Amino acid sequence: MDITTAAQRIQELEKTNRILAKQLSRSESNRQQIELQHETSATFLRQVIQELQTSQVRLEERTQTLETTLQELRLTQGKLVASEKMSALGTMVAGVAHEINNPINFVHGNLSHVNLYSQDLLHLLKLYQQEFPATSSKLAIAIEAIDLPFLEQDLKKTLQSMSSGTDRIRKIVNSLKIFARLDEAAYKYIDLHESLNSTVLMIQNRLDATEDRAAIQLVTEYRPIPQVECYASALNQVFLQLLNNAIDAINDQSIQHPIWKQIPQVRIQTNYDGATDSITITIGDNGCGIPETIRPKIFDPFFTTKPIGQGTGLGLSTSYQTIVGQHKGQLYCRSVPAHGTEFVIHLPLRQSLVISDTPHQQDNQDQQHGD
Amino acid sequence: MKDAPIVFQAVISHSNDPDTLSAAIELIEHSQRQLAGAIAQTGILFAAPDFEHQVLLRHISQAFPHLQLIGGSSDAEISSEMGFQEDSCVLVLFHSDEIEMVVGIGHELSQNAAQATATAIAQAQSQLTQPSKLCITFADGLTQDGNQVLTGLQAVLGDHFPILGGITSDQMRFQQTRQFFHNAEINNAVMSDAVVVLLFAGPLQFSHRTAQGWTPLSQKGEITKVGGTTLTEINGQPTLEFYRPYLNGAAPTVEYPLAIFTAPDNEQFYLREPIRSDPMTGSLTSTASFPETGTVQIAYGEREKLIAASQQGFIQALADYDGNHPAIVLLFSCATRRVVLGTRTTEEYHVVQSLNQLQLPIIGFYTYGEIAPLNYNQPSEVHHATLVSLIIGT
Repeated sequence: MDITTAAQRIQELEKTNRILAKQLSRSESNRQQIELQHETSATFLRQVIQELQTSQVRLEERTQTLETTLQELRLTQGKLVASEKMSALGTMVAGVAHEINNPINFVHGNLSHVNLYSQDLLHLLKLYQQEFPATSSKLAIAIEAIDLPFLEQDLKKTLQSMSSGTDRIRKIVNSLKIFARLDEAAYKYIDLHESLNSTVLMIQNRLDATEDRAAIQLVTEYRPIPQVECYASALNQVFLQLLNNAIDAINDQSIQHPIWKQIPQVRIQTNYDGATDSITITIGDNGCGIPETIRPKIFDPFFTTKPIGQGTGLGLSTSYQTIVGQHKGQLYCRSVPAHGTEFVIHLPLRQSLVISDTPHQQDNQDQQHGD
Repeated sequence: MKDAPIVFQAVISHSNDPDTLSAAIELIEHSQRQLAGAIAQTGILFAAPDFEHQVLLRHISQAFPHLQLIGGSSDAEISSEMGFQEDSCVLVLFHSDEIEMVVGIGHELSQNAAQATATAIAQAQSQLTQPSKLCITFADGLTQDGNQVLTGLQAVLGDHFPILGGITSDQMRFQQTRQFFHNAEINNAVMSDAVVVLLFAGPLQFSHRTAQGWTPLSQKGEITKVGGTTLTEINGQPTLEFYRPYLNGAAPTVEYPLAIFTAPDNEQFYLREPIRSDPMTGSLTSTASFPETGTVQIAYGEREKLIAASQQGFIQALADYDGNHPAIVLLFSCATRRVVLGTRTTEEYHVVQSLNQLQLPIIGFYTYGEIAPLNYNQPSEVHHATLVSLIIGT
């Protein structure tokens, strides 16, 4: 190696040495910077993660609140729709009852006068026959033509039949008014048997025989029960719902099992339990029953097994609200698929006692009023 | 007969020798070899703060007697010759027969930024025979608000005039940065509190893009009290209180810049990095001013995203270039990116270099604030933690 080359080599080595020394000092400060950066980065990200977690919890709570609110809104909407329907039905029923009531009262009231007048006329006719026995041939022919002895007997029966007919119409009208209960917007003491009978009247035509089945036999087993403090119109809607469901179940059973041999039957039972001071109403049928899988959902809003457009899925949920929410009672069902279903209602006899006994429920009650 | 192509030559040289004289000799010899007798008219020099800058300038100006030069101290340097380097110096020299390139300087920025910038532009423009087309600038951001510097330049050149460059830096010491200047009248000036400009005029083509890649991650806050480059309150509380839970009470550093949203309900933001904080007032200071109002979030720099953004920015700059003969790529990257990228800083350069199929010379430095349009076709702004790619040619 010559001197020039050696000098160049030394220069290069000196340069390399300078660069390495500089890089070493810089790398040490960079290392410290990276360590610090690593620590602060971990702290920063930990805080951000914590905030995200808090935000996620808040979001979940908000979602839950929104879901609950949505559920309540849908239920309220459904109740409003149902209430509107029932209100319209009640108004119509009450209107029809009112319109029929007056003319039928005229007829019924005048029937007694007609009876009296016809008796008087028959009596007068008898007197004529006694005072003027030598009758003309024209009179004899006319008496024979109208079969006067039969007329005398049948006129009385006809008038009695008309009287019982108008009496029945008056009872039906009264039942319609009881069902509608438009004048009863608050808790009142009600004869539940009267309510049940008036509701049965509303579904009477559905009990008749159809192409698929025989006429439905309605069996009522009413035990003596005291009057119950309740919202009569709301309870009538529950009875109507349960009776309609019972008939639907029987119709489904008839369609699903064309060779079904049993007599279709709807049973209504009532009972009073003195120990709990409550009334039990059972509405049962021997229809198709409810499968065990869907039984937990039947009181859920918008749950329905009916085809789209035929059921809102609100009937039983609204009934549940009425019995449990509004009357602090119980509503549950027992069912055996293909054998039948029983819906059982327990109602406290007096709402005021339930409310004063349970302050918590007072709030709910107030809320129900608010609804 | 076909016109002869316009001559526009850019030669670069890079030395990582910490010895100033040796480094100067390396830069000069390498540049002279590449120029092959052509006269260097203008140049840009970036040098780490530990060099004897005046010695560097003196040797360079002596070697290239007709040279007009600007530059500044840098946090780190980049070139296609040596890639990413710390404690190095890098020089680009320009030669052209038709493109005019002239320099200007304004002193005492802190006293009057408008006057300093106007002086610098006037000095440069007085030498031009054609309208200027591009301005490259470097300025002191520790003595004056970077926005004030830019506003001063825009007041003279126009709001939409392309002004690109950076705030000079000093390896995160935040003590004193230097601006370099040399021409026939002012020789080998190494200044602080100054602004230097390089104006281009003539048949020049250029394109540029700004890459960001940061993610705002903290809770949002509203700016409630500002004094220029000092942000005093967020949400009615001292600014440091806003940072406290995220940094466990430690002073905010450049790695945690504030994303400042440009408009309510707008996802676009620019970044301001804290260079110092005051525990007494709870305020922090940056090299460019904060807006009087606005929504802020502490941003986080994920390395992958920063590198991906750099790559995308350069791809777009290449796509935007309308000329036929690009001559050089200038990169102005934020010192914060270097800190966050750490050992992966070289990757930022390599993704650019991998796309550089024409093997264009690349030169750049790490700044305390980048000056360029943040979005395409918008006026220039001062922003932090970005990478500006500028392609110049004919």
